[in-house]
Amino acid sequence: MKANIARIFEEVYEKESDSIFRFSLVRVSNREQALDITQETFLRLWSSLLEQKEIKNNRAFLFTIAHHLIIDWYRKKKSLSLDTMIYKIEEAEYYEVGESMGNSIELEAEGRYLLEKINELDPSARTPVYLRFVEDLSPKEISDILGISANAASVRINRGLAELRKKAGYEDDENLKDN
Amino acid sequence: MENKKTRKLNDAVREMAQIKMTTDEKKRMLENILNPSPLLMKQPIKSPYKISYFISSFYQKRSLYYLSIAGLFIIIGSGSVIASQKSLPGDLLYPLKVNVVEPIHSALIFSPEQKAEYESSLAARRLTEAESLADQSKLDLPKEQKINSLLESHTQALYKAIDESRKKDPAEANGDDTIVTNFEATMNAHAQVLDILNKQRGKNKKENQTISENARDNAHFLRASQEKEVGATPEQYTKKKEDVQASIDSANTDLNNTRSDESSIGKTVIDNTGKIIEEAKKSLKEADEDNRKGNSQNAHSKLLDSESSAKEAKIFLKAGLKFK
Repeated sequence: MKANIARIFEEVYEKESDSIFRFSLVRVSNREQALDITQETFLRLWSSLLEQKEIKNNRAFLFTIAHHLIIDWYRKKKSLSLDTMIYKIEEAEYYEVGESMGNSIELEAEGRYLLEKINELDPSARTPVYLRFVEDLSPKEISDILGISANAASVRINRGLAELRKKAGYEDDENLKDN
Repeated sequence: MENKKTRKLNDAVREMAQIKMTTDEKKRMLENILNPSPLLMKQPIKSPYKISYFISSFYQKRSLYYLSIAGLFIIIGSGSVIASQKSLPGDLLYPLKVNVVEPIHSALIFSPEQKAEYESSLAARRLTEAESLADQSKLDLPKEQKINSLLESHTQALYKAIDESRKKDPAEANGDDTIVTNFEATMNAHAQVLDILNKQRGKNKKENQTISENARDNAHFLRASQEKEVGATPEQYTKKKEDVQASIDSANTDLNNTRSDESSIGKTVIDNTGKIIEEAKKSLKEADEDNRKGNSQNAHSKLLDSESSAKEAKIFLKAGLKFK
């Protein structure tokens, strides 16, 4: 039984570990920390599989856990006041990311440019756009990961993509279609 | 044909997709997960703001927030109401009990008879509170005044309820008598307990005796206000006498079943109960004499005295033996 679970886990790990690591690294800009978050994310998947919890979508499940771990990491790192948190945790937490973003991530010119432009977006649109555009997740999966409605996720993606078109000069690019 | 911007974009996405773990990192991580060290298992990344996050997310979901606040008020409110029932004068919740809970309860009783019984029970409750305070030597002047004032208002409410009951059904005179004798017996019994407690706790002077005096006065006032000018019919007298005799027998049984109590208060209570029962018997005898002489009004009055004394003995014995 455990061998079977381990086999399923290893398949998922092989397929998704780089995506989760990338998602974490792009957000925390620290390789060691991104590795820690990735490991913790998969550790929780492993525990859930051992406890035979029902997981409908492994990919969405992993991104959801990683997303929450990153939020926790930011809270730990930044001494956010309760007022700031009440204002809006999700939006407040990414403001500082852009400053150090890119410097610690090894990327070639185009990749770095796109990442910089994504990080110039409105904070509420950054993660939805990244997940949709880079990780190719559906609006429904993104809504589950961020804990918002599918409609709100679509709005953030569309608004973010429109902004990205302007900022990155992709305005006439058909590949950046609305979702 | 793929234009330049599309190519650039695809290159950018492809480049970003190259962000990966090294083979070593990947292998080590998998081993760590499948064979975790106890240290690793016990140290997940913990949120230092779990409680704050819970509060803030709660706050953001407005409907849940308001519902929870309302629920909290109900829980705290009902909890306070229950907690207030055992409060004593001077306690934080006592005003809630006497100014909110009890008046609301009273207002929700529409039958004058039931209202009279409820007010009578409240008056008894005030005296029980006074006894508890006296026992703890906490019955100071402000508390005494508060209890006296409440006692006065309960008696007035009781008087009013009896009056309404009488207007509603003048034929139910015996019912009124029972309420009156119950009240008289309760007031006198608790007044006597209070006097004993005050004496035992070293309050030999006139301190702390206004409540017992007030209770006796109220009992006397109510009894006097309900005295009838016309005596009972022979049938009514016979039936009432049987009831009174049953009450005396019951008080006697209670006294006989009471174990001897070596405490000073216990001894006094048992002795005094015997005396009260003797008074009840004496009044019953006098009632019979008056009845034989044809003085039905006096006979009825003595019968009520006897009934009141018999009930008083029972209440006094029970209330007095709670204290040592």
